[in-house]
Amino acid sequence: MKGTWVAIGAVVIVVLLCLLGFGSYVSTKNQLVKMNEDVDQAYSQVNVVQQRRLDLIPNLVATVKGYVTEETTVLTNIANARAGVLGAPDRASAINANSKLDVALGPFFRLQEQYPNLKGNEQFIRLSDELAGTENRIAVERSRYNRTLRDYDVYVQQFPNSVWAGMAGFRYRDEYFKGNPENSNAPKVDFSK
Amino acid sequence: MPRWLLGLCFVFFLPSAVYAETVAGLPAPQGYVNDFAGVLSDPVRQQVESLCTAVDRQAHAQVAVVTVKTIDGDQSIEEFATELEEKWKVGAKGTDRGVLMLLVMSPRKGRIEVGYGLEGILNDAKVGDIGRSMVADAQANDYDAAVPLGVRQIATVIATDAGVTLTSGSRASGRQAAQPTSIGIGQILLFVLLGIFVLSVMGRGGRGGRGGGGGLGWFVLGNILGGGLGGGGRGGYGGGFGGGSDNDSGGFGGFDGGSSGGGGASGDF
Repeated sequence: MKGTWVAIGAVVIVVLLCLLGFGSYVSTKNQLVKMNEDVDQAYSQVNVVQQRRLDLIPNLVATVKGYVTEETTVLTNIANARAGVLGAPDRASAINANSKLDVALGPFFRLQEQYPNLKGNEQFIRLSDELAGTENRIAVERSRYNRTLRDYDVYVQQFPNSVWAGMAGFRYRDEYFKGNPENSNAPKVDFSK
Repeated sequence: MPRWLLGLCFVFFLPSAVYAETVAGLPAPQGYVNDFAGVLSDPVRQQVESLCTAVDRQAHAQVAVVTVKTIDGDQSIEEFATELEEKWKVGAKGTDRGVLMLLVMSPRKGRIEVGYGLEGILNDAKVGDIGRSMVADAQANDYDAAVPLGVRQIATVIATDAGVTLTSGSRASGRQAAQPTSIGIGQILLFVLLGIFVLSVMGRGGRGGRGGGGGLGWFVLGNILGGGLGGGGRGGYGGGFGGGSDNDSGGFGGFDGGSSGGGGASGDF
């Protein structure tokens, strides 16, 4: 008689544990689906502003070309980097190509210091407004994307979510926008020139 | 009055007198114009305030003007503006029609941040032109001229696009900003516990017996544990500034939850 009660108790406990586990799995899975979508949504937001930059570049280059004759390397670098972005097949390489474009565009903003004529050009001023605004948009959307992705990555790796995430096929994604590695070197300032 | 009480008063009221330079340290918006640097005269402030009220009421876009003395640390004016917009949420939720004009006194910099919903009509180039038109007055420390000049241009663009002519109401009696209404964690927890209790009682009542039943309750508990153990931490900032729906009463009813994505232009003066 006593044995039956123990058996029933054991069964009840097992059933309760199963329910508990199942409930936890379902809620974790649903949360993961949502967070995964959030990451993708944030990335597409980044993509929108990056696309905007790609569209601006030809206009800018066309405006500058008349003024800048010997400084073609800057423009060539930009054109090459832009082509790299257009040809990037997946997200990781697109992120990489876009940070190369970040670097290539750097000297562009210094052109107006070297060519004072450009400063008077209405169209150039307004186009560089657009480009500067777009660069800032990109920075903002990237940091929002990074934050969203971090939330996802933290959630995926925490216990017990990590167990359920593995079962449901969600894994850690290392698709962050990182700072340009060249920036970690201290700049050399040469006053002798 | 005991001396320590006086001291306590100082501790609590002093920070609001000193102009903070981080977004977190800024007080809640007092109106459309927030002159934390104290560079605008009263009549001008009210004039701009009523212009912004008209824009909000007639063209359904919110324009905020903020002046600060300096920005703390190595934060750029762009980052400061974006963070402030994330906190204040100028513009209406959903339409994101908001503009934030920010003037920093030292180093002398200005920025006009445009919300998502106005990027189409106030593109960076146009905003840059508006900013540059303010530079001459701002350089002469004549902010009483610079700010209305800029805001008027922004208002004109918005009004033209909305197809309205702005009539500045003379009702300048600024209503206090609505209090942010947010549900505390305690209340949420109470609701959850209440829910579990009700569910488990229902489960037990239906089946009776000892230790059985309550399947649904346990399922819910599992859900909560699954979510709760996972560290949550994603609780939204929420709140923002509610109210503002009764647009007829005039005055400032708080900003309505808009957002921006770093659009706009900045420059030195």
